[in-house]
Amino acid sequence: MKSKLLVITVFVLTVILIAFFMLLPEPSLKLDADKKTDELSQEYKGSFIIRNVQVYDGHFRHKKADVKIIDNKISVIAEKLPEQSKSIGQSKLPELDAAGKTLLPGLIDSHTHAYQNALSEALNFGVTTELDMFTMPSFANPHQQQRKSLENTSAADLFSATILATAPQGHGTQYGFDIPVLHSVEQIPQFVADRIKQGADYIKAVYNSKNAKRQHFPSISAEILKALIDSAHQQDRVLVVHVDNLVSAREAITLGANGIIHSFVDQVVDKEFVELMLSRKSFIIPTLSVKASMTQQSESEQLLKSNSNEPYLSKQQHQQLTARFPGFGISSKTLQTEALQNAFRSVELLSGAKVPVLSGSDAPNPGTTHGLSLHGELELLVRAGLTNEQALHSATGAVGHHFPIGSRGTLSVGSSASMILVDGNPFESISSTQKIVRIWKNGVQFERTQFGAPDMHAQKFKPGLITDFNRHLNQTNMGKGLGETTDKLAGGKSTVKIALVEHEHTANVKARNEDTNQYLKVRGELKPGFMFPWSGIAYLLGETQQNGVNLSAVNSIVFKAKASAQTKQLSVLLFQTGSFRPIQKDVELSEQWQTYHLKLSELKDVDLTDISNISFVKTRTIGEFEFMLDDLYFE
Amino acid sequence: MKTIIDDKPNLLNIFILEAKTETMRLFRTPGFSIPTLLFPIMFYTFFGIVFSMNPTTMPTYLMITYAVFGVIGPALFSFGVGIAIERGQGWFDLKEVSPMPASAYIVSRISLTFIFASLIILFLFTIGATFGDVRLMRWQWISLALIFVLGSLPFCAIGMTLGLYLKANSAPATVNLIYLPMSFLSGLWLPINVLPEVMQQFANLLPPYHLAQLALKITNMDLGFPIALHLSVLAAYSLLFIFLAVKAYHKKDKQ
Repeated sequence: MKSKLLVITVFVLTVILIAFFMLLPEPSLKLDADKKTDELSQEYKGSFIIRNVQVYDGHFRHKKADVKIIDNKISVIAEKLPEQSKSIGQSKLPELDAAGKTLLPGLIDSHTHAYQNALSEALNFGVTTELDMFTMPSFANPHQQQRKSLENTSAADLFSATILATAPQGHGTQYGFDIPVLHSVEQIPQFVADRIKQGADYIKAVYNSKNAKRQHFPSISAEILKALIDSAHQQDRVLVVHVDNLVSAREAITLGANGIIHSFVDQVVDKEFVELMLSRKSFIIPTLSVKASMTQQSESEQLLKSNSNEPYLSKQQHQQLTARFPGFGISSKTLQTEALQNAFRSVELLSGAKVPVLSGSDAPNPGTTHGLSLHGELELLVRAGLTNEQALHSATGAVGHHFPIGSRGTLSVGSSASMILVDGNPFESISSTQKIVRIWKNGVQFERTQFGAPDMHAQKFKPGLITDFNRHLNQTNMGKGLGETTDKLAGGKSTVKIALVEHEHTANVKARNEDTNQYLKVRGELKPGFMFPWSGIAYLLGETQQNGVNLSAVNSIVFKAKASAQTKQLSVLLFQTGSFRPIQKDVELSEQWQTYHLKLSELKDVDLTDISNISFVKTRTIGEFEFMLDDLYFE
Repeated sequence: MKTIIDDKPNLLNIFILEAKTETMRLFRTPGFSIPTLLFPIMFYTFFGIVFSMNPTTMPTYLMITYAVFGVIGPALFSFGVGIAIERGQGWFDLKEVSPMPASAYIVSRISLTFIFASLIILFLFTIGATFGDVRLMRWQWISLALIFVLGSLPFCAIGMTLGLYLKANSAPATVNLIYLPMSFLSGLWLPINVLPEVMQQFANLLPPYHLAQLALKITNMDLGFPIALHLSVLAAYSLLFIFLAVKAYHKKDKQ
């Protein structure tokens, strides 16, 4: 009896114990496939270790090394870091095994023009620093502030020349900005002081010598350039000169410029010039990408298609890359080929003689875009004769020797961990820099933005009435409705007031509805403040600004309109999703109601499958305006 | 009706009977059962879960170290304090002259330790899993439980020696004076690596440190010393204290 009881007790206890241990929770198991994506999505941020990676630190190559990042800064680069002791109070640093990959400093594009999304576009391709060579201080200053913070992790750091120094009607004035220009030597100290006050990290001048063959734009004189150089140096600023021929470059360097921008298409550098560059310790930013584009030999489309770069480019960047320069005077193919060869050969001779070369893309000029074009520039520099290591150096460690950018472009102890991990070996194939695996900005991993193919699921709009203005403005038969729009969005000062107004029952207006018959009255004032002032009404098509709709089934936009005597012109703007540059079509209005047909097929360069906004606005002429709209249709 | 006298002595029966009575006695002694069961659970809940320094690893780490703390308690107390008190009351001598083999005495106390150890483990595991989000593979849970239960054996030896040397009235205080500081210095209350370097070095001399390191190996949270080192230290301590206990036992006989 007793032993039976014992057996039962033991049995029951065993069952309870087994049940208990079966109930204890296990870590949720993942399939191997999941594990893999897990590994990829693991975030390496702040403090972590990268092991077994080839490192180029901006100056030297380490074939296999371990890199430790502590608190967003490089802490150790060693051939082999010891295993982490398994301590608990502070948990182990995450480790990334990056065998077969290469870690590079975040790249530096030494020649861009930064505005709009430039800096996030740059970072999307691992360009963590941009040296801007002409933008407005209003854009540059906030970003120059942000670069001081380690928290600036979603955009590249910006250094800027702000407004360039050029002659009246000279190069740089053609973009529509109201910029100060230089007439005389007396202006110079004040001009340089103003630039520095407005945040210029260095000074950029545009120069074309009187002795140059081509006199295609007015230029500052050699005396003014000399005064600029002296004044800049007095204020401890580097001065770089935009030139496009050897004669001008020679003069600029002789006068004391620190560096020149653009390689030469007119002739190949001579020995004398190379010697001059060496003796003055001057550098060159050849910008071969833009030179290729100007001479109609851009390979930006191949660049766009290769190495799965495309998904990471916005629609606008696409347009920038596929855009082309107009002829630029050199029309014959042979001359064009020769011109680019001169530029390449010059780079080869200069770099061969150890003249410092910095890589710059001149984005977003036609055929170039922020970020990706710097990778293209590296390819071109290698083709011109730089070794792969020299090319990498030109976009990393070399820049800090000439511009005041701190430790950017290097992976040295204490420098902020802005770096890119690429697949493969850029020392063997320079295009490996495009095989980006991860990007870190100041030690924080940057999630690359994928733009993807045009949205095939975009809602398709069919012809029909949009609104007859007899209902509230946000109730349209399709789309999200109408609303005010002015340049206040972009920092302007224009105003607008809209109202639905009852038609007077005059003979020439037929009431289509017994109860209400309203039209839309838009009045306001265009005021100076933004470069392109606008004011009026916007018709939002998609659910959000990011969702466009497909208008390929629509032939025309039809509307009735009239305007006050002084208004006359109405602009219809079509916005493609994600783009800030609308397609503009102007319509002449009269003081009487008239129906207008705007044929979409007549609009150039517009992708009708992805339109987010159609705006009816007054542009250009400063002053008060008033226009009326009724019966808006798609036909 | 069977009596013990009629039968050939049934060793198993004796063992079970002794273990059962001892267990019942201990459970009826709240002065023993409540602190030994409650302290590890309470401390673990405070330091491991409520005021955890690192919610991802701390609950697991401290669940293991407090389990070690938990299982060595009953070993030290049931042997150390128990024997000392029984010696004081003369109960020990009475048992010695009874026909019960001495082994039954030891085995019953060991099984008693095991039972308490298991209870503590069950409680800690339950709290860790429910409130501390501790997630371990099944083999890890089971190996940990086995290590804890078997790991109490060296402390039984230590307890036995203490019990044979200490006086009844001073035993509880003395055992506590050994138990609590030793646990702290072995890194059972707080992770060993938050202690100063000197104390970490000193911990090498303490057996609970080695038991904890063995257990932490299961979850890959140990300091990375070889298993053999920990095992041999524990074995050495066991042998040393068994030797001391035997010596003390015989010395007592001569008195």
